Amino acid sequence: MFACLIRFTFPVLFLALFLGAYRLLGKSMDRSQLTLERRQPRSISHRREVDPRIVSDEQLFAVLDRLQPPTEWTNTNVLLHAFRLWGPLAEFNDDRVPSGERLRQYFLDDAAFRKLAGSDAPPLYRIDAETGQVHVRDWSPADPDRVSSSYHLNDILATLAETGTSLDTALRTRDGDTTVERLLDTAMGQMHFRQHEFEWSAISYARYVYPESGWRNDYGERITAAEVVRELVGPLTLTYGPCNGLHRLEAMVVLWGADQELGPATSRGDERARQRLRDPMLRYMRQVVALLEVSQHVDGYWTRAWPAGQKARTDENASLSDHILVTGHHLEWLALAPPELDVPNEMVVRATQWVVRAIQEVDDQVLRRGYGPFSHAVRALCLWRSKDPYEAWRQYKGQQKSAADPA
Amino acid sequence: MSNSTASNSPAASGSARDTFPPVPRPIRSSDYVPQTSGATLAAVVALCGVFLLTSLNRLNHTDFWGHLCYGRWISQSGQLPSSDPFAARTEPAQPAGRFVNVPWLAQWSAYELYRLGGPQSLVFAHAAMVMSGCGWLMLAIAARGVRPGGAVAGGLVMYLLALPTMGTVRPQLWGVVAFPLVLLGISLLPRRSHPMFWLPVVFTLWANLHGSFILGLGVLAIWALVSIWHVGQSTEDVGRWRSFWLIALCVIASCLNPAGPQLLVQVASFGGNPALEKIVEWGPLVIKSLGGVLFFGSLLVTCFVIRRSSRQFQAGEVVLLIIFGLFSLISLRMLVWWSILWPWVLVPHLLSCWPRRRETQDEPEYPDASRGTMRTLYALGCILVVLCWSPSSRAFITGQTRRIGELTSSDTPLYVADQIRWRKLTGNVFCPLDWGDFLIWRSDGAIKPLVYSHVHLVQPEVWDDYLRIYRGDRNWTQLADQHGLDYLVLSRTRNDTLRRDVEQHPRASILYQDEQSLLVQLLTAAPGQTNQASGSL
Repeated sequence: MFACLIRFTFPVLFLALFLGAYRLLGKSMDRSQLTLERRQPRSISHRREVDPRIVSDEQLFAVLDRLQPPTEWTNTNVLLHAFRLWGPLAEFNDDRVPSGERLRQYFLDDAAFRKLAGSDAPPLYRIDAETGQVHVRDWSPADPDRVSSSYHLNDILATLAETGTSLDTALRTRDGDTTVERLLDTAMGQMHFRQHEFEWSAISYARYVYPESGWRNDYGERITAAEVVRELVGPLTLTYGPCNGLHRLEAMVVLWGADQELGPATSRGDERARQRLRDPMLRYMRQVVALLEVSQHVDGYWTRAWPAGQKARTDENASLSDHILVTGHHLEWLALAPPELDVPNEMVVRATQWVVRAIQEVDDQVLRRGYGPFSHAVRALCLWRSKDPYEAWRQYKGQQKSAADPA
Repeated sequence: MSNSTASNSPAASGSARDTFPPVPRPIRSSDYVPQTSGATLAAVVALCGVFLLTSLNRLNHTDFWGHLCYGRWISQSGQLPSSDPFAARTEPAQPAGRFVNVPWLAQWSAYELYRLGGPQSLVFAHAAMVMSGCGWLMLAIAARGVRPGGAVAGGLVMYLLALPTMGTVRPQLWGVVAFPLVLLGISLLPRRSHPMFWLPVVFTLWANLHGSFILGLGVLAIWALVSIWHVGQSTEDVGRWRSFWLIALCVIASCLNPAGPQLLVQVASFGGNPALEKIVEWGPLVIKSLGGVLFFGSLLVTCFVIRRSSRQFQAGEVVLLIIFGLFSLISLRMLVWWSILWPWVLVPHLLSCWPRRRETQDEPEYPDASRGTMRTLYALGCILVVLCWSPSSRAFITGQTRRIGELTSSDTPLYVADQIRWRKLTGNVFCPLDWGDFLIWRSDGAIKPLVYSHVHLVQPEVWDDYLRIYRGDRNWTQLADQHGLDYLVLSRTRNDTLRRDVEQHPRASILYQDEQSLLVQLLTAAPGQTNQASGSL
């Protein structure tokens, strides 16, 4: 009887025992969750020798002074660019010009947002009651409230990262209080490799998350650093993506910078893995620099036709806004490019000097209308001089003041 | 022979007195471990393989989600739908009575399973059902007097032949389980009467699970009719009359469903909708496809077996092969039934092509009784490995829930469906029909596609309009207005013409896009705008 009982229960017990052991083993191997080890975003800086020929202090002040944050609210995108350029510490001693902190609060506090965007503006953030995820209201051409929306996917998060916003920073939304960490969690959870406008997701990843790799997004798809790089270097055309595809290059240099910040590799395997990340990006950037050398107009600017090489020099249809957009974005990523990338100094000087002239000559209306592209160009100038825009502006203003009033 | 063996053998030593012949030591089988035969071990290994391979399939983005939507609807409302609850409709619903939702029980049970264990439970169920279908077929073949190895091979052949059609979770899987049971019943009927009791129960369930029960009835009917002409022994005569009683009982059992006997008429006329002709899997079998290669390969084997078999083909076998062969040629979807029937008919004949070796030829002089115990351990080890290796069972064992992107096929519109959900969009939508089901599912039925995978429910004129919009017809805005469409969900690869027009169209506002899809809101037309826009093309 006993033997019969054992005979019947043996298979079940056998399977239960081994499957139980496997369950314990499997739990300890679970690496599907994203863990955020750092609270502060990485700051990526210029890593080349500073050449004062690129832009003088006086020129820098002049262009910065023209790019002070707008006194009137026009849309969220302009404020985002202003915040990105000036940072949270900026003070302009003029009540009409929003300070850096006020710009920052616009993106972190719904009350501040409503003060500028209007009390009846729909909220910029929505918290999903079920999941706690923080969704940003995105831009749509038919949306009557599109001006107060986020213009590009995760551009606010990327800007918060660029301006040094900690993950513990409070985010006060109309649905309740949360933190920037939840905003990042949502963005990384929703990140996938068919994403349109992937660039800002990649920048946010590089600054807040890297070298974390291999977690699963909300859909269960594995997100790795290698896949992020593949997505960045893999478009069909060089100009694929917003702003002529140039934020893709910005994302690459930021990721490269984040990798450099990690310090030397801890093992040969680690070195190989990191090399596998860097090589495709370097190849891509070298290809772009080669094209930029031959496509630069004699005046120093580039047009949207830059991937065409020499033919682009004769592209006479492009507007000033186009010149500024392309030249500013190119100068910006080149300023953060790795030292291994051979960027001809003369090419940069020609471009920066054209930018300075263009900004000084352009009338206010054009400048306000194209605040975003102009701000990229001015930020690029500051990066090439390794100067914080607000500090550069404040110091020069202080010098001017003391020169005018020695007492 | 190795040196050591040579030196140990009595012959090599030169004297039989110096050494003793090896004394066989039969090891007693354990009383505490069940004994497993070689055939059972082979069947376990084969079925484990089938389970593992099937569980690697992902949830297809097609009709599976539509069926799950029906299941949810039934579960939440506590009644059966009297008309299509999900399609966009501007005209009145079909008159009550014309709409019959045949697989309601499969839909409801799939949804309840989903509620219990999430989508991965359905992947697990898929593998388990295909495995059980193979298992039943092995039994059905063995019941025809075939030795166990042949029966196991027959089950595997079924899996191989059905590969092109078995990857999708749909109510048809119940047919894959039930159809071999019918064959098992037919195999046993001449000698046993118990199929008279359980087969009608199978048909009652099957008629509520999937429309393929009509094929089961067809097989029974053909077998019964053909047996009239078969002159056999007395036991076969008994079996013949049993088969008549059985078909009568099974027909009555099949009528036990919400639509009653009308279901038989409905199911028989299912293929009449012209829209089905445009669906690949309802289209004819293409030679240059996996299904075509497998089917025509099986025909070649059939020719060989007919020529070489020492076993006489029965009339019923021939008729069934011809009918199901023709069905498969007409429609790829019928290949699955061919894949079940063909091994059942052919394996006994195939094995008769070669003379059977004597069973005792390889038997050891002293049978090792512990083999049964070892086989049990091998079988358990095999089950263990498969359970740990198979993604569906591993998820349950480790408690690590697999998320939707890990479970669904790559063409599932995951991201755009999420956007629809977050934006709380409601209304009529145009989308590729195979995406419609998932969009309905994710939007809790708030989104109503012009056409989704239940194409047999679509009016011919709606189907024509769907195709015109799909191809980017220049009058797509008029068609969209005519059908009251609020949104378009476009595939970048499949709706390229329409996408390019939409991106420039003043009435189209892109709400979301990724590298797979676009979600477009159709704005209200200003007077005369529709014609102007389409005229500009």
